[in-house]
Amino acid sequence: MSTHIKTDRLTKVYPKPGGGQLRAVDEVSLEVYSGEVFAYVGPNGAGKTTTIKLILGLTKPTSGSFEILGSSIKDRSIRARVGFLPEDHNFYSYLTVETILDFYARLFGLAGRDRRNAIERVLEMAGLQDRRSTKVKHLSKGLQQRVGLAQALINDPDLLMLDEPQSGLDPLGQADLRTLINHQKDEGKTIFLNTHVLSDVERIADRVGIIDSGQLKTVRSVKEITGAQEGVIVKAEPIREEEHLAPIREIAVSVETREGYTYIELADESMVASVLPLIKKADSKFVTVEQKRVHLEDFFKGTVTSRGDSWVGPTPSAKEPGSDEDEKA
Amino acid sequence: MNDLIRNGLFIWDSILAIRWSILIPLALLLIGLIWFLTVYLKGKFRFLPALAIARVTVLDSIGRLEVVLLLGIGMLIVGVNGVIPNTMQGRNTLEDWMDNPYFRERFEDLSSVPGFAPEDDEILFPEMQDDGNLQLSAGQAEFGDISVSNGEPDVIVSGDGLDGPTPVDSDGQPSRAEEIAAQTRTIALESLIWQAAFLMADFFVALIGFVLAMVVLPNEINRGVILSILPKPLSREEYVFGKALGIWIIVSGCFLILALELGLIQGVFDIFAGRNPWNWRLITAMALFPFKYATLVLIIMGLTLRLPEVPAGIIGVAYFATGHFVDRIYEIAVSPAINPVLGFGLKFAYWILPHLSHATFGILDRDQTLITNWNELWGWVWQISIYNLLLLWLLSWLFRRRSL
Repeated sequence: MSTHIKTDRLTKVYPKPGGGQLRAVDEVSLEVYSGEVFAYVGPNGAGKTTTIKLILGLTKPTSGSFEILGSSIKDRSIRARVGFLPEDHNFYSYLTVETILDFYARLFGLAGRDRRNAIERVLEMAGLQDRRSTKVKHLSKGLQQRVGLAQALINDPDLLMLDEPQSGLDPLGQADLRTLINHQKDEGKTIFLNTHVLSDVERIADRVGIIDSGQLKTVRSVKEITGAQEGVIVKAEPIREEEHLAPIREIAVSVETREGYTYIELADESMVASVLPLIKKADSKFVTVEQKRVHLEDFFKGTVTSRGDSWVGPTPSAKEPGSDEDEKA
Repeated sequence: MNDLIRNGLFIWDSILAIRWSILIPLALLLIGLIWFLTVYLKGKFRFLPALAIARVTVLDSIGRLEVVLLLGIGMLIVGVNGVIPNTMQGRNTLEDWMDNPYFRERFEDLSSVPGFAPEDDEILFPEMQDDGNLQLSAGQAEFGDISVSNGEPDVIVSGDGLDGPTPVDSDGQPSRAEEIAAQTRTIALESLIWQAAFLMADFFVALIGFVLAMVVLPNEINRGVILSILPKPLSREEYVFGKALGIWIIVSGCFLILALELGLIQGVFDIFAGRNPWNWRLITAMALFPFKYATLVLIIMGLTLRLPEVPAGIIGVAYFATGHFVDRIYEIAVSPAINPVLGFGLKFAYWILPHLSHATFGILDRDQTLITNWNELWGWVWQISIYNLLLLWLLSWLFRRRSL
């Protein structure tokens, strides 16, 4: 397995407007292997987008080094093998979808039939065949995001870098995106996924890197984090009377009522048969039985120490100083 | 004989105009090729990605409301300014012209020109030489000096109109000098007819260039358009060259549209009046003016990489406009009365400003020698080409250092 992205103590320091320095990316060393889906997660302003910009040569590192597809990003032949969907991107709004894709295809030197074929291929992949003649300014945010995906795929890249690809997509669009990523993975492509949607990371990523305040906290296999543990969780309709809860507690590891349900943790699966009559006796209904596991969200919360603005801000879109956009200052 | 001279002069003028309209773009192409091949050999520059950037910039700009609006207003104003003066073409005497308030004001301005004496029904554009002689120019060729005694020109034209009888001297014989003077007068009037419209066209095109150059890079950087472009296999040099080329094509295209509109209006009136419809000075302007629009675009684009859009635009336009008066700055700089330190400063300004004076007023004013002195014109083309290439290099350098 070859390494497609490798950074060594990669650092980017910005001067703060009021004096001092902001270490947007602080000695980040990571490796992304070929054919894997690598999720890069962290709170807003943690340095995710800056890391991508550094890797793609959009901004220069203060120190450290990196290589991509085994070479420098300055190498044109390397960049010809990379696809990139930026966060908060825009396109030439007065042009049609097809003209936009034609433009990106030209940047890769595609000509004639190759260019036409590439455009048709990505229009189909992004579900934009019916919108080919629509001007970008008339497209919804979700459809513009699809155009972004289409341009990132126009060169059939070996390495696909996606910065918040779910942004603006409706649930169907998000499902399409997961399918697309899985399809790319099946074709042996490497995907670097910068995202906030941890449920998607659980479903499609092989490994996850968590960055916080510019520092890479950990890189772990998703299976390793969310892998099955001993014990099962029985989910039932809420049981509130203590007289019914007491016998359950005697055989359960723990009993907890939250979010309108009672969760009963059992040491092993064989004990489910013992607890079901007790649930029935309490006039409650059994809902599900799940293997006990750690969710990525819990792991994430336990790993990061800072509070990104998407967790504490007054609105999800609010930006704090030091967020990715502000880091440019 | 007079007709022969007249036709000969016209043909000679036409040849010169054609020659420059071809050679000027060729010269630019040659210089550009040398410079970019140098960069290309270093692997930093390839034309196809740059042309793709230029193409998409043109396509995007064409759809912009502000460009369409400015061009539309420009076409309207140029049209009005082109048509109205031409309605005066059938009325050839000075008295007729002076009846029109539109031209009376312009003739009054001309009265400040040395040797111009409207009260004598004389419309000449003589130029006083250092040796005290008066030089008359006509068509696109220079003629010999005519002596002046007591400040009065030897040749007084009291013609009956532009297409009136062949001028004669005081003995009633056809006179070459008076023929020249009559031609001069004809050209002077033609100049007046389209000068206002031409200046309007120039103004609106510069305005479009100003608007586009001021917003093109900040827009793409701030809106994030650039983030999906630069990771593609193209260099920053190619990107910024493509953007500048695209804007320049739009701006020059707008100028060509307005100039063609003016030429068409003028041509229709000329055909109906039985005159030659080809305006070679206008065609020469079409070849020359894109040079100065390139200067405008490059200066403002470069400034927007370091300054907010509005200050960058204002400073860029001021710098560009000052370039039109660069000869006057030099005259002041070398004046004996000027303070030596100030003189040095003005000379420095002279060298760093774009030399644009010949690109505009030289074409419009009869007392300039732009078309007749083709060596000077050739020199200007080289000078402004090198200047623009330096600006392009500076723009690339600034953009390369820009973090996104």
